[in-house]
Amino acid sequence: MTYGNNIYDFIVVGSGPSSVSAAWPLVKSGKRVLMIDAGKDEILPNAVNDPLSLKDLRNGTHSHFFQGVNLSKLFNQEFSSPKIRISGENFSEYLKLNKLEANNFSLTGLIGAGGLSRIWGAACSCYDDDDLFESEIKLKDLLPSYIKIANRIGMTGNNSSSIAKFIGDQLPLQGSLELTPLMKKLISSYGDKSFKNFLMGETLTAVIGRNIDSRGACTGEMRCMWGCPSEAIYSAKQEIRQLLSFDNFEFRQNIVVDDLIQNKTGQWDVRGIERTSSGRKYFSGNKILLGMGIFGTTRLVMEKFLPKGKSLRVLHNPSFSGAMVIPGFIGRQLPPKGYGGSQLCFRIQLSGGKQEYAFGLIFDAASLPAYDLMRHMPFTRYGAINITRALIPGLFILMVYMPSRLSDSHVKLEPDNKLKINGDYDLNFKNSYSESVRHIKSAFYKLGAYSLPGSFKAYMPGAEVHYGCTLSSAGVISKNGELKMAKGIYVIDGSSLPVLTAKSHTLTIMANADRIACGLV
Amino acid sequence: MTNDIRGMHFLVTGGGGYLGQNLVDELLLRGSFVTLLTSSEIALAHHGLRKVKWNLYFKDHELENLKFDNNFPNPSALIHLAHSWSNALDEEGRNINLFGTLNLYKWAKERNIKFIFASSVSAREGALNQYGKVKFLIEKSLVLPDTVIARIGLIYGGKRLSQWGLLYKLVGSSRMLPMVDPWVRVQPICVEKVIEGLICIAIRDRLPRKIYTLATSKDISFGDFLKLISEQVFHRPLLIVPISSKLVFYILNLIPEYFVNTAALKDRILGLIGITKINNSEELNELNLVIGDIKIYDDIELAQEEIINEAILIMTSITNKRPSVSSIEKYVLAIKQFHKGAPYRFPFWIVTPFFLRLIEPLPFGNMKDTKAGELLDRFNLALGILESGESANKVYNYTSGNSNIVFFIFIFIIEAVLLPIRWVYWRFRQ
Repeated sequence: MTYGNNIYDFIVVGSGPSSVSAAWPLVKSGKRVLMIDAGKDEILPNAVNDPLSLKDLRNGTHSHFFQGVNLSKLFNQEFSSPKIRISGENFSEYLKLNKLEANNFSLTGLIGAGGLSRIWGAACSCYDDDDLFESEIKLKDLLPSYIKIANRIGMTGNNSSSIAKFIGDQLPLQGSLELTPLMKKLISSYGDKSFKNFLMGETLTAVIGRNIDSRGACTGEMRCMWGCPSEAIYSAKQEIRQLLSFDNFEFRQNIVVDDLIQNKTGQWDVRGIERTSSGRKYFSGNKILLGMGIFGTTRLVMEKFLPKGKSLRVLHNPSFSGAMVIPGFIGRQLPPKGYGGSQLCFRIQLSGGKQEYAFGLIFDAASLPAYDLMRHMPFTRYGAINITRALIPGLFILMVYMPSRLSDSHVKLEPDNKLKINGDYDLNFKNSYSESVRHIKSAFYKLGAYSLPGSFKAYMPGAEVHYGCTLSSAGVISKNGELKMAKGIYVIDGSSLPVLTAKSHTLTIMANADRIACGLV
Repeated sequence: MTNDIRGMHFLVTGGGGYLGQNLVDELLLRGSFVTLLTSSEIALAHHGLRKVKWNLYFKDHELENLKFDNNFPNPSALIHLAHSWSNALDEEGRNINLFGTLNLYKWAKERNIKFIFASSVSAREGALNQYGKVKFLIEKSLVLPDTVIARIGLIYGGKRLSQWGLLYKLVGSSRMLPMVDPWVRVQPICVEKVIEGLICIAIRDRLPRKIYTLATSKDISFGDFLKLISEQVFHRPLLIVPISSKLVFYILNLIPEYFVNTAALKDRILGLIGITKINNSEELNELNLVIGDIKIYDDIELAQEEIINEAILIMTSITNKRPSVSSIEKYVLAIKQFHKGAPYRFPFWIVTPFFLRLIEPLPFGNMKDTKAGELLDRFNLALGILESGESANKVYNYTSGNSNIVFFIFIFIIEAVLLPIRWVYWRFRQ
């Protein structure tokens, strides 16, 4: 047995975006902070030894880059984003180490420094007071944190676009990313016409426009989906490197936390297994911040502090995707440069109240692997290649998130302490889905784009990786993030998010973590 | 227990055939020398392998002139597997199998070489088929000492050639097979056991019998045997539709010999229905040969060959040109990793990439654990390999400003025609 010979002021469990955001204010205030992570990967910066653009990589001689060593990237073909495929082998690890079991629910979690932010699409948005209508946390509580984080991680966007008021126009930005021709066409058509209940504009992104530390500004190599060579896209991993320069910050990897026990002096013992030696490790801290990822945290809290057999609701945003094409662009040349993530986003208002909206991200197909488009085409592969080649320059993909009240998924702790997640949609989902699709098709028709027949498909619950609120919606977390039944334990990740809207929620998870941590200093 | 044959030298006729190839491979693997008596072109890729030109038409004086490699030790045995299916006659009007064998026999016995004759379980006095009759006639003529006759049953396993290759292909091509008299009882034996038996016969002195039957002592109906192949190799049930042999003969007799050589086919059917059970358990005991239950397996190296063919077929159908070696290698690697290295069983009529386009599954619905889903997976793997590999330039249009709109429309029309065919095919199959 090894006892941590010191007592930390704060122990942060997990190393994802929320953990890092919570660690910053604590570390800056001089407190002793320990961050524990289950991963064993290096946290060094990306070696920029292949600053090739996507166009260069696609000339046919860099197949290993797309296929991976031993074709690992081709293994799980169900994941549509190559960003997810790249680290595909880690998902099962997250499920195994956190004792999770999913049923009709696509569960994504990453073991390793940076957590899910490593595969994050970097789309951001701020909640507004309409979103937080039912919550005791208001925009005024979150806004300082939003601004602090934007300053820290570096963001780009357009604060004067039509959608800016909706996704947040008060953040300091480092300019905007240049749009590809197809996206320019969309935004200019949008400016020419008037729309009812349809907002569109540049996406707020966690991509830097100027160099920060070891990260380089976006150079438009379009490789975002496969990992940015200059690390312009935010990942919490980058911030751990910065945090390590503080003497009062410690980072321990390879430890899977599985127990929390309050000792006689009122401090908390965080216990876990070291994966390399399989030995038990103990760390004591005055306050514990849990950021192990939504389901990891939920499981631990349910096992330790909630009555057995309790079932909690997990909110998620039912989502769907669709392909649209602007005919005038068919057969044109692909843009060699640009930002490869979501450049534009939109909001459609649904019937039934102010918070009832669907939020969508638009991706230029030029930066997506044609493979993922061809796979879903009803043509023969030979036909699909030829049709895709002509189609891609005019093609863009919509990824649409619906309100979380349309989800009906639950988590339950099994007798063997496994967390079982049962995914489902609400009965109203079908109607709202077809209403959204109708609305979107007509709005984009006005912009000169047509939907590809049969391309609109709803995802399996959870596949959109927008979930959370497990503990907050159960009412076990007070406003300051503390667990009501265990003083000194704070939940900082998505499971304590006040509400889950259709907007991109990662920035809000980070802001919420920052808010909770600031309250502790 | 295997017999040690290191350093021994065997003469083998018929080394290019199904049993011959498997036998020679095994002999060489176990460190013995082999001289093939053959007239066919066989590349010698092993230091222990030599060949001497010979065929069943060779006369005494031609046999006298056979030249052997002096570096090889004296031959331990001559294993005579060669058989001419033509049953042709030599200039003097004698059956070539009989007299070719007798010439060789005389030659071997003059040199004191042990003679092993591969016969058949259908060799009988009143055999229905020509094959059985000829084999029996030869057996009777081999009267000198140090001669052993191996009567071999229905062989399965190993390289997919000859009769085994045919059965494998037939069972693999369909879930339903029409079969002549499937109730006939056969005694199958796997090729390894036949080889073990032959080696044992070849090296053991003073065997108590002249004739040994190499076959499973437990018999099984022919139909059940085919079903076993289907279950164990193809993992699916097989439906056998029995056909009366009388009906088949009636039809075969209607076909003029001039168009199709029906004689060979008739002979095979006669061979099957004329089989009688042989009780050979004592013979197997004498050879220390233990034959377990029928277990048909897939040879992994052979599977690789099939996966390569599959890669070429699928990739050619995707890009319309033959894939590069590196793409094929990747495909084989992918199938080994993600599909347990099992080749896909295409219907027998998929002979060119074009036919494959007729049955490309549509990517809709729940396809998990279906045949369509498996094929689609393989298509997607091939596509994933090609998309970022050699065909990348074809997929992404970074250079040409305008693509050929006429070609685009042409492709659309073709796809519109193919779509219902593909849909109907898989609808019908599931």
